[in-house]
Amino acid sequence: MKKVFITTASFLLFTFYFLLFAISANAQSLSLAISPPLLEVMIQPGKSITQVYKLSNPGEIDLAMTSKILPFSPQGEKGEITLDNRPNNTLTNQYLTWFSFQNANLALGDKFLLKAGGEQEVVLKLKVPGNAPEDDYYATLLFETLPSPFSDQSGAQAQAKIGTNLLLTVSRDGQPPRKAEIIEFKVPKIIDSFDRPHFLLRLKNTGRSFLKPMGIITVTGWFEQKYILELLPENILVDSLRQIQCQSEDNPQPCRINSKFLLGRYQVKAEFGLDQLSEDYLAEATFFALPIKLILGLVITAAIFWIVRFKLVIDKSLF
Amino acid sequence: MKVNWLLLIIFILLFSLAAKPVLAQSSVSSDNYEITWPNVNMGAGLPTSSSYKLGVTTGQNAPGLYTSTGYKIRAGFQYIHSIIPFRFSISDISIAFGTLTVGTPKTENNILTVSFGAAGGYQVTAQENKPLTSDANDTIADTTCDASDCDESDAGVWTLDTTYGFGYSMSGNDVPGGFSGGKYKQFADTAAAESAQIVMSSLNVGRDRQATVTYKVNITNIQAAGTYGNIITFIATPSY
Repeated sequence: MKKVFITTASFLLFTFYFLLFAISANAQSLSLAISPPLLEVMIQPGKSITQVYKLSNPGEIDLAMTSKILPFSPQGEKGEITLDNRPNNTLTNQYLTWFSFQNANLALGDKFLLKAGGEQEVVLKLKVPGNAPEDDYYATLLFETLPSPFSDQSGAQAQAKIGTNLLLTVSRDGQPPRKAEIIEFKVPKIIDSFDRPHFLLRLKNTGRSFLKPMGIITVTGWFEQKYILELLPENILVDSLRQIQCQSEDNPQPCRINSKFLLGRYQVKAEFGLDQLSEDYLAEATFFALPIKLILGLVITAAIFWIVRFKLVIDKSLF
Repeated sequence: MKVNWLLLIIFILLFSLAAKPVLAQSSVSSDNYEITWPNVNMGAGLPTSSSYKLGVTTGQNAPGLYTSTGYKIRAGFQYIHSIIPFRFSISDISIAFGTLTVGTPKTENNILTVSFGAAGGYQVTAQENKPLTSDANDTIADTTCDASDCDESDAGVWTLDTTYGFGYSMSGNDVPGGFSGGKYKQFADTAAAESAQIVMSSLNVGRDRQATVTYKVNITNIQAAGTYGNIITFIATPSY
């Protein structure tokens, strides 16, 4: 009896202790921020520059980190990228060796600890050799967390990498050949008067250096009423296509005019220059705006009215 | 005469106290943006015409200046300069499935959060270093879904308990289409030289864009006992 009592008491005490002092298993979240997100450099062979990056850890846990530079190529038409993560990419992309860190205690590729709430400044140095060919070079500076050790149960470990892109043009005179081709300027032929037409401008960089289209889309109606859309000067990389967005009220957005009602024939003109405002490039199209839905609504209403009226006349004649 | 001197001193005093330093307006900002027109070595400003205006920097564009300095740098997005830093978070870095039971699928979630304010958008890609693998090198294969129609690039329906393997689904902000209706994909396998796949992307700006990753695993009755694991890598990059 005494033994049973001691066992029960021990069990209850253990349970009580366990419930009281058990540590809750918190999810380990991580967070990383980087600035600036983009660096554009035009540089002569034989010159070098430095750029300071700020990597911060706004999360609640210390992070073991490392860094690397990878080449990237444009993917799709909306500014996406594909990183070249092949192990031998330094051999095929010699320009990756032009980059290093100038920090006293941190080299590119070194492991370092980024404290919770802390920040790490990284001074990236770019030294272009004197014999570097005049060309464009694209890379991403990546900071990555080192995965935690595996637990004793099945599952996956998440690893985070955050990147910032570098667009590098090596040019002796600072005037690399810039050339673009308008692949498509898509304007709807006919729209409903209450719709807001969307214009699609697709440009290809056929030059030797990345470029930004700078200009406007002008929509002019029958009565000379004008709508102006500003093109967003986004980078188009060499040999790649990009769908150009517009900007309005400080926001990037699709090229769509903010109209409530349009009527008649409208002329749409896209005019832009490369890296400067000009009318070097021009694309034109027209569309018609008709109150199709309104007319259809009126026709249907009239038809219903006529049918009802006709039915009433027949009913009257029967009685 | 005395009164004149007194008035002059008072005037100078008032002028000195009230005068504010003259600052060039170099930026306009809102909650999400700061539009800057940095004056770099040369004239800058807002070119305007009767029909349009556009922010432009002409700094260091002259060939002579480039020849003397040897470089030209622009950090950040020049025309819409964000005051939202590029930030990426994962809600839980350890995705634990616990003990797996034959024919009983297990799911776990974690949340990806992105804040991005600059022009051009962002993307988050995902990939695994290998399929779920045990210490004895046994693997839980990546799922091919109910109709054997999913892989790392195409999603497929996975609702049957008799479908086995490991996969993921996405929901929330800025996720690619094709996941709705209980659809899953395989993680791109780095060991098999598969390319990382986009799991979040947007052309627009925003704070705290959130997407949920649902990990799913189901094992067969011939699965060797052991603890299985792998590493899922999420890469967040801004656009250019």
